[in-house]
Amino acid sequence: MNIDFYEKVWMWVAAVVVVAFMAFVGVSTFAAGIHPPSHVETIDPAKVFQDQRFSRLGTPTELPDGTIEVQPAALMFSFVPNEIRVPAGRRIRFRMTSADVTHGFMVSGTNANTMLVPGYISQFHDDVRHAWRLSRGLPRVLWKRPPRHARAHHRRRHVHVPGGRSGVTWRRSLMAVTDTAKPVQAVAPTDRSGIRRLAIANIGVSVAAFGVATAMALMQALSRANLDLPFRTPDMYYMSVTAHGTLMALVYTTFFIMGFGYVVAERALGRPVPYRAVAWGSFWLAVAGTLSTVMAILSFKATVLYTFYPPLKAHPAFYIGLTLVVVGSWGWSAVLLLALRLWRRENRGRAIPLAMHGFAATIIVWLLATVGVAAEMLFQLIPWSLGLTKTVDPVLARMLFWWFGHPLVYFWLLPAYVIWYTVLPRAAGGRLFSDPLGRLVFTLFILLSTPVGLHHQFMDPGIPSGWKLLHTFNTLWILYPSFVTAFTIIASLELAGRAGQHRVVRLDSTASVGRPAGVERHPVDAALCDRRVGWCHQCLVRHECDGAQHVVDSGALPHDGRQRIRAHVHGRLVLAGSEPARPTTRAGTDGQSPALYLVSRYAAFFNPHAHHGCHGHATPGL
Amino acid sequence: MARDNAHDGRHPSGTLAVVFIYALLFVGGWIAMYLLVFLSRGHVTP
Repeated sequence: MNIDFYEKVWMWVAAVVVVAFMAFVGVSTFAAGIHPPSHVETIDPAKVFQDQRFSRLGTPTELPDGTIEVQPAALMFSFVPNEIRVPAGRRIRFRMTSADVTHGFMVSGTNANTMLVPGYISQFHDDVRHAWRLSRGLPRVLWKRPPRHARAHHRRRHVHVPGGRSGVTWRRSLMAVTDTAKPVQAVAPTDRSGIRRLAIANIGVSVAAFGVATAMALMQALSRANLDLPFRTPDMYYMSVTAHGTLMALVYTTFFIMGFGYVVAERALGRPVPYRAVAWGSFWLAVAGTLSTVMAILSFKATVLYTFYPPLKAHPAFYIGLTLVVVGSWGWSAVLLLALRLWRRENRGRAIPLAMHGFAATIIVWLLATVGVAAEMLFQLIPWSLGLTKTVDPVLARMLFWWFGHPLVYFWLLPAYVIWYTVLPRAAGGRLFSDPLGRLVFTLFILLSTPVGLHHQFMDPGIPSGWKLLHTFNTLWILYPSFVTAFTIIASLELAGRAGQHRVVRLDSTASVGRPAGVERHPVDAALCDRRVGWCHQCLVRHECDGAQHVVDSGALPHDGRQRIRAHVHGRLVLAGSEPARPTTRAGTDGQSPALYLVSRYAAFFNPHAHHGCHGHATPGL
Repeated sequence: MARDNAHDGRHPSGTLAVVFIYALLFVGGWIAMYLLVFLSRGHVTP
């Protein structure tokens, strides 16, 4: 593999950065003894108030070593007791549990932060240097001048009982990477038309799901606006949150990527996608699953949010419907992998086109990820919701969910990488800087993406800290392919810029954003504001930022994954959605520069993360 | 197979500068958060 010297330097720097982060975390763990809450002890959640281990609720107790032990228990909308006073400057041992659903507990401004999962006891020690209290049913912490500076947040409060160009350029860009001593065979128009219908059908469902989810977002906004609307009820609020999250995160993205995958496969491989009957059957199966899920949600029988953490229980139609969506996606995966297999038989000795290599990686990541959620559905949630089993382990359910839930974002991301690696360099008038490293990046995502989901449970009880340390290291390594991508893509643009420094292209208003039609621009600038790859800028830039946040999560500021997810996903999707809304014409100016645009996206990213993530901002109460 | 490197003998020096600056900001920000925010809040122990 011929790698440019500068890129080798960067690859070593990236590796050293990851190792340095691991060293920081390792020293903190082994030398300073810092661990996230990882106590392993169980309790019957139905008998918390009869259990001797929680017999001193509300009464701080001094232990023989001088530590003060407090034992608050979490309930929906309150802690028991609501207020605890402890001496300032003493070491505090928190022992807590939940008597109903999963809650979060955090004392802002400190590292006191844990999940309270029914059936498990959370325990950790912290030095609270100032007096604090929990009061008025809503937990608050007094931090010098109350109540403004610090709060203990009750993170989850549920009201539910447990239960430039043209389409020709686009096509050429994808096909160009098929690389070729031998020209790619053109696809017959009838086949192309067939795959177009399949792609449009998938993307149509995706757009419809997006529309419903957007309406649900409006519903949430109206609820939070505290307007006295006739339909404003807690059930309506949680229904809208569930519909919004489920449709956006699990339906909109999956159908869009399936439709996109068919197009990439046919055009990159230069042959018709086979097994159309299987493809259509998978599509309709996924549609049926979506309808089942949506009906369960809209009928208020599945207000369990998109993470569906037990012991919140939904109607079986919700779980079965989502399972059918996943099974449908497996059919899609099989069709594309079989298409690739057929192509390899017909093209022995030739490298797989990079676009298809990237999409194959996307599919493999998806298959590995969905094993987790399939296991959760088949062995836990569906039997439990049908009444076949009486109990469910919430920590195991969360683990299986995040086995799926974290690589889910790579399933969203890798198609954008495919565009960046195959379309953007061509759109800029150049070519990919390093084909082998592009392939390496996609392969690394397969190897590194699936074991990292546990970092969403760093604050969970019931998981020993050794496993959390291991997954911290896994999470840090996922930085590496992103770092390599940063170099490869920017280098591709740099070389395209050099090659085209005396060239200009005339912008087409239908293909560009942020530039008026007819303006002549440098090819690289034109490529950066190309509408077809604009959303990929969003995904990549925001993913890189999110990688930074993951590193912070893993090493410095671990907190509940869902807090960060909310900020991250909304930042990525909402701002990506706003991309087409950017003005296409500006009187007297040719619009903002791509560099300024990317910087502005960074700034927009860090704001919600700093606010929601690092500061542990909690969901406002209804 | 496509050419392994498409740089025509010219190293991407501008790219290396950009990613180095990025790395410095990234590492500096992480260390600052770790030392000034996380550790300054006091230790949490089992």
